[in-house]
Amino acid sequence: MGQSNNNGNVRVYEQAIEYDGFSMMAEREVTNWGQTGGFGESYVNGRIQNLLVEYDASGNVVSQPIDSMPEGTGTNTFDAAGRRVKYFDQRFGRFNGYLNMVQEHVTAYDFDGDGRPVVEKDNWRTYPRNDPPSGGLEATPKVFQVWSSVLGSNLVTIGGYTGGTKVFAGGTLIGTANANAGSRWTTADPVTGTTVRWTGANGVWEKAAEETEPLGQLVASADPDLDNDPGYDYAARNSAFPQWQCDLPDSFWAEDPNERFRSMPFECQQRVLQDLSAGLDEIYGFSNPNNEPDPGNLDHERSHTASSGPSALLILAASALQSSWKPKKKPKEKIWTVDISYVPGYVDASESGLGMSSFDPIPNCVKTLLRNEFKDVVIGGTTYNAVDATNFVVTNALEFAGTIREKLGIDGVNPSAMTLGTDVLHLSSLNVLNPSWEQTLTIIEEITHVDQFLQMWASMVATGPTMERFGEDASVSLGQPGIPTKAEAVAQWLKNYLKASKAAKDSGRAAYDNDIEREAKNRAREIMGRLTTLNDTKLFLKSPCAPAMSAR
Amino acid sequence: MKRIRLLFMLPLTVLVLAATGCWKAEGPGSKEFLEIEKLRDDQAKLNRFQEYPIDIQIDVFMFAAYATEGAGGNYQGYLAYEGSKKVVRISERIAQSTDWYYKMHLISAVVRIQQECGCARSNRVVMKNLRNLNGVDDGSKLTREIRDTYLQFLNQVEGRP
Repeated sequence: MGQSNNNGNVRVYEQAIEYDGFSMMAEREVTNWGQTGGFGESYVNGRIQNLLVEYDASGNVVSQPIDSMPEGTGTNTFDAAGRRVKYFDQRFGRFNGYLNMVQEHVTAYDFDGDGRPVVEKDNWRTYPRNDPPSGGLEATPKVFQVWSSVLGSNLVTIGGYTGGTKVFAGGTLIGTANANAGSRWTTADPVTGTTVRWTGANGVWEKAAEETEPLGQLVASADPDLDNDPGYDYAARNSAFPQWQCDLPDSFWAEDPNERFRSMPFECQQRVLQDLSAGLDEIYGFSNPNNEPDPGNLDHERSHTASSGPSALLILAASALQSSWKPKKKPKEKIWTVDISYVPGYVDASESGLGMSSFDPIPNCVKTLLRNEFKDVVIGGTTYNAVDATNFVVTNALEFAGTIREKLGIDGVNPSAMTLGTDVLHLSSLNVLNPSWEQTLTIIEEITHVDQFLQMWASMVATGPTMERFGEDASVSLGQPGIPTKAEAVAQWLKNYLKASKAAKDSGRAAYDNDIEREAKNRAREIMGRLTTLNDTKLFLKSPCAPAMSAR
Repeated sequence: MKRIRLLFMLPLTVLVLAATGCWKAEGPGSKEFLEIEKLRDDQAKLNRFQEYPIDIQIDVFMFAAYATEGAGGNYQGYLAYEGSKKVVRISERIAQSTDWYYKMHLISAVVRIQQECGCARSNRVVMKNLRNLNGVDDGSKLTREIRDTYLQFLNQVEGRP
C-alpha cells in the first residue's frame, strides 16, 4: 500500500500475524514505512499471560501497564453490564523538564437508558510526586452526544475538539459538519477500501486518501517521515533510551575521574547536566563536549582535594552571584528548572526505605541564637530570613549529587549536607534537633548558603525578569508574576556554583574550595567565633540548646 | 507495579551503599583524615588524631576545614585538645602562610585553645606569630572579609572586645 519515495527501498507496509489454537493473536510483526513494530503475547483462558495485566472475573482488563513513561498503569472500571465506564491512568517520570512527576488522566462515560454513551467526561492533571494534591481526579463533562436509534450512531457531538453533526447516506457515515474545523466529507471505494476525505470550510477544500489495513489501522499513503530521534527530553528514562549506558560504573568510562564526564556518551552527559539544571555551554562555554577544554586538573599547590568523592554540597552563590549574573546576556541560553521535589533520587530514596525523608525543624534555641546574624531579604514583596526560611530535609539521596559532582570532575567532600535553594538535604548523622557545637557550625554554614541563595534570588528580581522561562509550574513558584520563580533561582544557583567550581580549578584550587564555599565557611566561622565570645564556650561543647543557653 | 518499583530501587540501593565512605582524597592531611573518618566513635577519632605528629594534625584540620561542609567542626576540637602543647607550632604555621583563608581557619583553633587553657595570650611567641599580618590582599571583597574574620579572632585571643 502507498508509495515509496526512496527508490522503492522502503517497505511501505507489511504485517505478519500468528494466532494460537484459540484464534488469539499471539504475534504480530508490522513494518510501516521502514519502521518495525510488533506485538507478542501468550494466553491462557483467553487472558494475556502478563503479571502486569489484571483481569476481573468477567475477563475484562482492569489494569495494564503503560509504556509511554518509565512506569505507569492504566485501569478500567466496568459497570454491571460490562461497559467500560471509566478509564484512569497514572504515569510517573520526567515531564516538561521536571523529574519525578506524576501525570494522571481520567475519562468516563454516562450512558442513557439504552446503554449508549451520551456524556463523555475527561480530565487530567500533573503534579510532583512528592506533593500529591488532596483528593482524587474527577472527570468533568467534555462531550455530549445525541444518538439516533434508527442509524445506531450518534448524530451530533457537542463540545470538545471533535464536535460536529454527522451525515449519513444509506446508513453509512459520509460526512461530518464540525463546528470547530469546518466540514469533512468522506467517500470510500467499495473495492479497494480506499477512503478519500475532504476537509475544509468556506469553499476551500483539501483532499486526502486514507488506507486502512484489515485490522482497521490507518496506513499512511506517503512517508510519514517518522522521527527516529525522539530527542532527549522524550527518551530519557524511557524504555527507548539506552539508560543502561548512563548507569554503568563511572570507572567504565575513564579511570581518571577528571576525564569521566567527557568520556561519557553525549546523552549521558546531557542527562547529568539536565539533572543538574545546567547546560554544557553555560558551564564551560561550549556546545560540543568533545571539543571542550579540560574542565581542570586538580593539580594545585596545596590540594585539599577529595577528587573522586561521591560527596555533596552543590551549594549556593550570592555575592559572587551578584557580580557574575547578568540578565539576558545569552538569549538562547537553555535554562532548566529545578526544584527540590525533582532532585533525582529524592523521592526514590525515601520510597526505598533507605532514607525516609522528613523535615527537621531548626530548634528555637538555635534560631534565637542566629536570627540576628542574618538580615531579612525581600523578594517580590515577601520577606525572608534565612534562619526561618531554611528547611532541613533528612535524606540519603546525597549520593546523586556526589555522583554528578564526580562525573563533572568536581572534587568531593564529606557528604553531610547539600543546599538547594532554601532546602538543605542532610544525612541523619547531622543532628539538627539537638546539635553539638560542631554540628551548629555546619548548620550555620548551611543557613549561610540559604542566605546566599536568597540574596541571589533578590538580585535577580532587582535586575528584572531575566531568565528564559519554560516549564513554569505554579506549585514551585514562590514569587509574584514577573519575577523569577524559586525553581528558576535554584537553577541559576546551581549553574553559578558550577561556574565558581570551574574558576577555583582554573586558579589551581580544588573545585569544592571555591569562593562560594569560602565565603560561607568564613561567615560561619565568624558568626560562631562571635557567639563563643558572647557565651560560655563550655556550653557550646555540649550544645547551643543546653539549658543555660536556651534560657537566653 | 511493586515489582517495577523494586527493580527500579535495586540499583539505587546499591548506589547508596556504594557511595557511603568510598571516596578518596588528595592533599596534605587527606589520607589521615580518611583514616580517622573510618572510625565511628568520636573518642576513637580523637585518639587516632592525637597519635599523629602536630604538623600532620594541622594538615588534617586544614583538610577538613577546606573540604567538608561545616569546615570540619569536629577537627577544631581535636586540634585544640591539649592545645597548650600545640599552640606554638600552630602559630608558626599561621605566620608561615600568606593566605588569609588558611590563616583564618587555623587561628580559629587558637581561639578555642585560648578559651580552654588560656595559654595562647600569655605566650609571646604565639602572639608575635599571630600578629604577623602577612596575608596577601588580592583586593577582592571576599579576601577582605576573610582578613576581617582573622582580625576578629586575633582580638578574641588578645581579649579585646
